[in-house]
Amino acid sequence: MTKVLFEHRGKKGVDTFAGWEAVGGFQALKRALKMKPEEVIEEVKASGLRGRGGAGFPTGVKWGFVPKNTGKPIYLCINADESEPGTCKDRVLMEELPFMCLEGALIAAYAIGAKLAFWYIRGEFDLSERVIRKAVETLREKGVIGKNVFGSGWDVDLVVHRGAGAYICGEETGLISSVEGDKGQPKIKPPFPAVEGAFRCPTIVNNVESLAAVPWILNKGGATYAALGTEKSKGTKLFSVSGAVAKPGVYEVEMGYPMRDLIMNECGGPQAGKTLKAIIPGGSSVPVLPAETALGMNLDYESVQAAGSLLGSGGVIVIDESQSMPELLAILGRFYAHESCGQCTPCREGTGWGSRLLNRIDDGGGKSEDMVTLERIARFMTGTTICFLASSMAMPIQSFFKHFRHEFEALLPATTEARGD
Amino acid sequence: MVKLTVDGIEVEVPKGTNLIEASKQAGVEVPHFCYHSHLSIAGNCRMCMVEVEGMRGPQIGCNTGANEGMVVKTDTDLIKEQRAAVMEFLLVNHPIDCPVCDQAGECKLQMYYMEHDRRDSVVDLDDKLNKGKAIEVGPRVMLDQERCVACARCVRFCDEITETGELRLLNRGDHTTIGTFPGRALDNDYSVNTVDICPVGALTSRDFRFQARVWYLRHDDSICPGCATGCNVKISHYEQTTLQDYNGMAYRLRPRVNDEVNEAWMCDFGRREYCQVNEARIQQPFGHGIEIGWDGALGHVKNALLPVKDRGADAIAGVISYDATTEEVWLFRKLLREVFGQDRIAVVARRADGKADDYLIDGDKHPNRAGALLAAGEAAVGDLAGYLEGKVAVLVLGADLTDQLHGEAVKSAFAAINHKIVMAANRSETSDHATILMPTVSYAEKDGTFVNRQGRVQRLFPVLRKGFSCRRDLDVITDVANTFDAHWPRPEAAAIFAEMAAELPALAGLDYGTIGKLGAPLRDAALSTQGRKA
Repeated sequence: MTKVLFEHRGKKGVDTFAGWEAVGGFQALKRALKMKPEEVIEEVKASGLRGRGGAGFPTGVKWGFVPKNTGKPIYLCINADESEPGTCKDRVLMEELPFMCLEGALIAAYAIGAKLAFWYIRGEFDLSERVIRKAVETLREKGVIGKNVFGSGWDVDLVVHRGAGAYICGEETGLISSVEGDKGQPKIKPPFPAVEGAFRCPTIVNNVESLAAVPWILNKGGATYAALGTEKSKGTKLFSVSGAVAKPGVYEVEMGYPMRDLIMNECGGPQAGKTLKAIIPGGSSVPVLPAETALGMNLDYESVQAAGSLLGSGGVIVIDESQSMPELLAILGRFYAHESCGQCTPCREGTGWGSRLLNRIDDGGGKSEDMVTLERIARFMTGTTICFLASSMAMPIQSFFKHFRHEFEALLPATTEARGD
Repeated sequence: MVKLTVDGIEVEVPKGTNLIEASKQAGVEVPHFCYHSHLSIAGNCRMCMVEVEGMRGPQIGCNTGANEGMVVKTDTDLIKEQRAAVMEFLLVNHPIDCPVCDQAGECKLQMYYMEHDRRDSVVDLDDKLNKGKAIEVGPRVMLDQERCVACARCVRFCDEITETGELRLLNRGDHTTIGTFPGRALDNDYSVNTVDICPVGALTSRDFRFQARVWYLRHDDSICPGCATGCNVKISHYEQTTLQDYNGMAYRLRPRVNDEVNEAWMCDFGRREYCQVNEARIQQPFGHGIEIGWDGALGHVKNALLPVKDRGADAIAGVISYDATTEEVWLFRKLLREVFGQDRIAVVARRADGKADDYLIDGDKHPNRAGALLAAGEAAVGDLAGYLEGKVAVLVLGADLTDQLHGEAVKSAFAAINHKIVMAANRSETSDHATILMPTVSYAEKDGTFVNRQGRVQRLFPVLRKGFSCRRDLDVITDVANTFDAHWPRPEAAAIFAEMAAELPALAGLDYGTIGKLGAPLRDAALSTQGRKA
């Protein structure tokens, strides 16, 4: 299978400047700098690359949204705030292939006309931050970041900005608030960041994995990338598989790869003696699927959606029969209640209220009407807020109830009708 | 301009007008907490949801711009459900302490609950979250974090209007609340505006809290008399209680929107100007410190002035302050000229210059210096001490001739005058030395106009009445004139203004109707236009 992101993974010294150069590093950047920015954007558009942070918006199209000649500086933010539970792919890219990530970012900066980029890195990612910071220093010494990059006349600078540890700073406008020095709170759209983002200037926010694919696309051509994957989901994608499998880890497969193959082949199947119960295919925010449904689908945006979930960030959480679903949902509830930025009413109150109900169900102290209340909460948290965090708690609630209702009901007292009084 | 319909009512608004404002034009109120017409859009309360044909799901009205042909619906079942849901979320952790909350009666949460929710709670939790209560967040503002709905209006006010940034949303999730940075206080000169815009009882005014239940108050239009800016205000006052002592009491000033003057704000100093309506009021006419009633006072005036009336220009002086209305200065000048033959009039300061900034706070602490000088015209004297020197009697309307303000020479010249006839609403050093003292009224009790620093003519309205024996300044001036058989009619401020407008080019064409509630600029520009035409 063709590897795009992991083509050079594991090669000795590939995490050094010389090592990256030795495997053809910086050729793509040099090529890009000889092209017009619009041509770079066209190449990425042609590749069909979609944002790998979770939303799946076409990367080249996003770049094309930057307005021309506003007189304002343009910024690139690299979203390395990988905090979606179950997702750990950007960390691997940054730690093992830092120069590939940075090369992709520099190409993106050139394409959108940015002279300053912010590498926004998750607060808890200590090693990643050190690796990226060191790589940035090296690039600065080598003149790849700085004035007149590779004699092209183009100047660029890059600031590594470490977050303070907030899930919501992975949301692009939350990230922008944090870069600006404010509390990480998503901002209302419109205006969209491409028009008015960081410091009220045009800003593009891209996920690390999206940018890491760009050097390959420039080297091999957008069409080559587009030939991988499926009709609508092109290229390859990293999947972070965690949970009850023999070999959890980060795997690169072509879009459209069967989930069953990923779990059974790459990941070595369920852990010994375990039976799979459920899979969350795209990070904790997306709907859970019964294992059989999930194993029967292919890993591309459309197939996962057709199966009733979302591809999201590719954080595949594999759950076996020994795991209580009410317990798992209560854990997720606590996560979202803790991470809600607290701006929007339905999210601020709904995550907390919902979490308290989920906790008491899990503790055996639930009331018979709690599930109805939770369904109401989930309904009115969906699509009613500035960002998707509220929906991200609603989707698990709804899908856990849909597929594993009996596990919750078993913990609740019978309804009054059922008791007959 | 674009045309759209809101609940079937067609309105025409500038393209991009947000749907809360567009709906307002159609007479449809879209409920909201975080939206404020004079602040940036936060879009966080999610109460202002409306349905727009062709757009997926409910949209927030505050951040959706009007477009040609838009069909907006605010009363669908979906919207009603959404609003009820937002109310339900807001009340999960909100204390139900309305009986002891100072905001009760003007609380959006209360009003919207009655309008959009009104059901029993399904919230069945053991306890609500506890946060900080009665926090002295600033010298004039009290914070109750449990009541906060995190709309962030106050935060945006401090960021965008005062640019002082004291307040922040702190913490996350349902622990979110507002607060200041450690060691910092909400202590800017406009801090109480945060209380006004707080839709709930989270921020309350330390001056006003627990003083009155708002449903006993009326809120009427007035002008802040605190400085030359003339912020448009609402004055809240007691009216309907059976407790006679409370009637006519003013409790607070709050800004009234006038984009030409004060936008939607006023300063914290101006808010204290309600005090002069209540405090140190002169309640009876006095003669040498003895209550003598109005007939007695006017009789004393006659006895004092009759002997010198015919040599008025040498014997009688008149002093009025920049606090007086334009009409009062005009009529006072007329009294001196027509009744006493005194062509000169002193128009003086009553307060020293004070703090100024580049926004609403003017250093000139008088509301009507421009108007008073306009009405006094060439009659105004420059040398106050020289003017008072050797006079037998002086009529003082609202001025305070202290040495701190006017110098020793003025004070001693005033002291040497035999008959000190003082008309004033509030006690002062000058009123304490009056031989005859007649009580007048505050700015909240009379008709009249102030001209602010921009040259904008703004109206005062008689919004409240005191129970004691004070009289409007114009009435007292007329009473004095009629004591000397002038036969003036009972003075109407509007008629006096019309008289001025006929004589003073700056006021040409203006009347109380055109000035209205929001004021009108002096006609200097109009004059120059006429000049060009000629």
